[in-house]
Amino acid sequence: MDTQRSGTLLIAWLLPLLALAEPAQPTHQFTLDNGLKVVVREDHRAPVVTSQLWFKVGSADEPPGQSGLSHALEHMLFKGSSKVCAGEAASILENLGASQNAFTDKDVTAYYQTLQPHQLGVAFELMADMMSTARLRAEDFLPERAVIQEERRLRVDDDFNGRAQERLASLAHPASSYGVPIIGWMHDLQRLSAADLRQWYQARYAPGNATLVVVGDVTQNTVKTLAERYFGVLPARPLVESRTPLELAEPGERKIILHQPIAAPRLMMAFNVPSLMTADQRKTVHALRLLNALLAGSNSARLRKRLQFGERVFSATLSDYNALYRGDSLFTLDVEISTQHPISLDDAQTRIWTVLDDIKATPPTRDELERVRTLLIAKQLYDRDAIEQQADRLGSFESIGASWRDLDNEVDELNQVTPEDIQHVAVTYLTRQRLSVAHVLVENRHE
Amino acid sequence: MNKYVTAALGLVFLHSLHSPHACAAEQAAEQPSQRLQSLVEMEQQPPASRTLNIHGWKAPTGGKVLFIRTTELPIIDLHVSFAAGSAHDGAHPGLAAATFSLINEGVPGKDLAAIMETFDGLGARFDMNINHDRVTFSLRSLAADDKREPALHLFNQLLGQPVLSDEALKRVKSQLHELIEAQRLNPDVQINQALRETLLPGHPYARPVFGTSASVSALSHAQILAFHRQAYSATGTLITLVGDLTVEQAQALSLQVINALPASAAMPATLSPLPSDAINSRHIERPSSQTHILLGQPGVAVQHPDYLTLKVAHVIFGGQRLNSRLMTELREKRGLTYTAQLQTPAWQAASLAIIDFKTRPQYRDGSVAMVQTLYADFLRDGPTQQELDDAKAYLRSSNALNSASNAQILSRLVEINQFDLPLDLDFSVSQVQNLTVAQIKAALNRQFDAKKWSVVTLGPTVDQQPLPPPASGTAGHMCRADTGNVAS
Repeated sequence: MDTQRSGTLLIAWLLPLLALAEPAQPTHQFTLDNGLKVVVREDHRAPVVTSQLWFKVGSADEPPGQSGLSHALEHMLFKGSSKVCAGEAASILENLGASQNAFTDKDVTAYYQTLQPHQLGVAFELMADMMSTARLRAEDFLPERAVIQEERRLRVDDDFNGRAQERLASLAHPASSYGVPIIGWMHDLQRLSAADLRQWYQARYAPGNATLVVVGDVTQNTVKTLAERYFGVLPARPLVESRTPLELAEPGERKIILHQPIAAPRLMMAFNVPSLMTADQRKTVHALRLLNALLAGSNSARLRKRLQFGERVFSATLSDYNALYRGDSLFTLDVEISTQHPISLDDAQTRIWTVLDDIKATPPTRDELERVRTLLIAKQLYDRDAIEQQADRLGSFESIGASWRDLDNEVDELNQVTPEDIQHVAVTYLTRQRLSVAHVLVENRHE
Repeated sequence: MNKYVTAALGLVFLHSLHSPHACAAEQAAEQPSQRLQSLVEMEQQPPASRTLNIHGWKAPTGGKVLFIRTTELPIIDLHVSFAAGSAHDGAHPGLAAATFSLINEGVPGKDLAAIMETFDGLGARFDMNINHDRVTFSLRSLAADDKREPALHLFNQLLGQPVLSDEALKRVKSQLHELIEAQRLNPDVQINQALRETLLPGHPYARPVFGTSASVSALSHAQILAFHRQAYSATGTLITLVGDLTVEQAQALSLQVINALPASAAMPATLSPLPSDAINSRHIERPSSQTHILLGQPGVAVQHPDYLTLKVAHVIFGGQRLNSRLMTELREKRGLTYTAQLQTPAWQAASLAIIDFKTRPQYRDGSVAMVQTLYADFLRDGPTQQELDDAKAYLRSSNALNSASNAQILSRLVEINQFDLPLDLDFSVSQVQNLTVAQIKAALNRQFDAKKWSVVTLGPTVDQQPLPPPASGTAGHMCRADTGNVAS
């Protein structure tokens, strides 16, 4: 009876959602002679365009002892190049009303500008200049290194969550460079030099190592003309191929204990799992995404429903699985213990294992699967609201070695996942051999 | 505790602020607009704004509705708010927060878990928030009838028929106790709370939104029911809608919301704080690698004739941009901080000006003195014409950019609704286009005083050191793009 009802539900869903899978917005790609790949997605809702230049270089590529190199280089690109003084690129863009910034991740470094379509050439000319003629002067690096150190103090050293995440990540990656913090260890920042940056820039900022993603009120032709003009003149350069960060299949159970002046203890659990690029098949990734939504990544998820809203032993329950990495990823559960119904972190861990063992023993019902599937598919539609978000998805896919075209298959692929697939990935990946645990205890130094 | 010696420290470095606007040595002497082909060739055209019509109507019972139709994506956003924030607690701190927290604890036939399951199963996103002035409930849903209608039905049940049981009140109190304890230990909450107490003594805006442990424990079920009856009524409800609906559909939808609510007398308006000349400084001792610094003064309310003028002034001094005066001096030249801003948080009946940054503990006094001197200079001279032109261009363009997504449109429309601004997304920006340097300087000096910053700091006490001199290579930072004649 139940199956019958959810069967109809599924079909009712499939109609509008399959329509979604059609590439509603025309998307184009071309490659310049120097190797720079360009992806253009038209979105004509408003006279706005976002331009994102993605380089395939991030913290995972950095040599030991030089952590934070990619992020420092990202900062220093704004410190002057052949056509602009230090700080001037940002000024020009801000005075045009553009919103602009840059970010560094484990696999990528990206620079983005959102502006009006007739201003797009300014973004291209500035980025082409910055990626090829950055000055990277030692005298500019001194104050900027201090800024980066302040950024580290702000985001990591004085931020309980940031610090706990950093420590857990370094424990969870015994065999790959993904355990290195993106912003860099403080002792590495202290000995980083402008010469290191220049070398990194030479090696990694070749046009062939980058993807330009443009989303908004533009056509392929206007983008192509501008891209040829400003980026097309840059010479092709040899590439350094990045190695895929791979983890051990069964590193063994690991644990760290931290003490922080927080209100309630916290338990973090991270399982070593594959990403979109390292999974044996794409179905595995979609099953892990659905498992994440079903366990703790949604308001109706099992851990929240049972342990937060039901038994009320947790005051917050989060989970995370990001499949968009070149190398292996993590599946993370993160809970805060309720101070009103306090239990030990060991007890909390036992209760979580009971929920995990349930799903390993019995596949989810069709109703439950449909609910989380609906959530993920609706999210995909909501994510189309912001052009920056769209460009971010396109850029992420391209930069880790997938194709933006794969995005169009996601709804189809999600629809093919069965309850047994979910059970299967839970059995395979939610094991003690793949687990790193952080116990964050309350430090009473202020009492 | 710690008093600030705002002595000569700041002045020592002032010389560098007035260094000539020179480009780095190796740069050609020409203007950047000539070095950048794209800037030279860029067509001068006014920013093209997306055509977005605001539809507005009022219900006979008093609810106000604003709607913008966008049809490109099959989604809708609904935002409903009531004047039921903590400023209405009266003698019972935590009353508004407890009532608010009870809203999603149950409706007839559904407990919290069932409510969450229903929204998730429809792909709908439900969110709720409380601040001093208001409580807000929002829903993002797919526009398809079979998803939208059941989601709206449940949303209206939450607003109109929450169970508000005594049993649920016990759970909610327990959550509030937990929140209050977490906030007590949160350094960002602590320092902002301390500053509000300093600037708005005795005013409801200076009290924490969630009340205190003792006051929450004392709340009775009857108080909650009475507060809910009065505050969550059709009278004074603000409804904001964006998305793929016809005007008729939007009207019908808003009526469903309003009809789900009881009508009762409007909530009393929050009184403006009395003007205060007190300057208080406070230090909160805490081991950390940075010291958090806030400098605050009372501002003017959104309805005040100087409000927009001061907003432009403060974008120039400390807006969210790399080339503000604060960021140029603290970050670009001296590497003292990652980010520094002058924020102007606004309530219904008051606003503040808050300079906010974090730096190494040994530079606490030096950087406070330098910021105070920077602001004194700003009051004495006003912005430069170039700064004002740049700020106007920036505001014009960023306004046009903020109409790309439904989420952006919703947030601007919510502001118009809450502060009763004219029904025009471009109103604020068009108002400031004729401002002059003299007008900005006059408004600044009417409302602010360089000597009246209250300073609150949080961090470890260490020996104070002079600030590092501006880095030698940073003359180039003063080289600015001459976009006055090309920016649009």
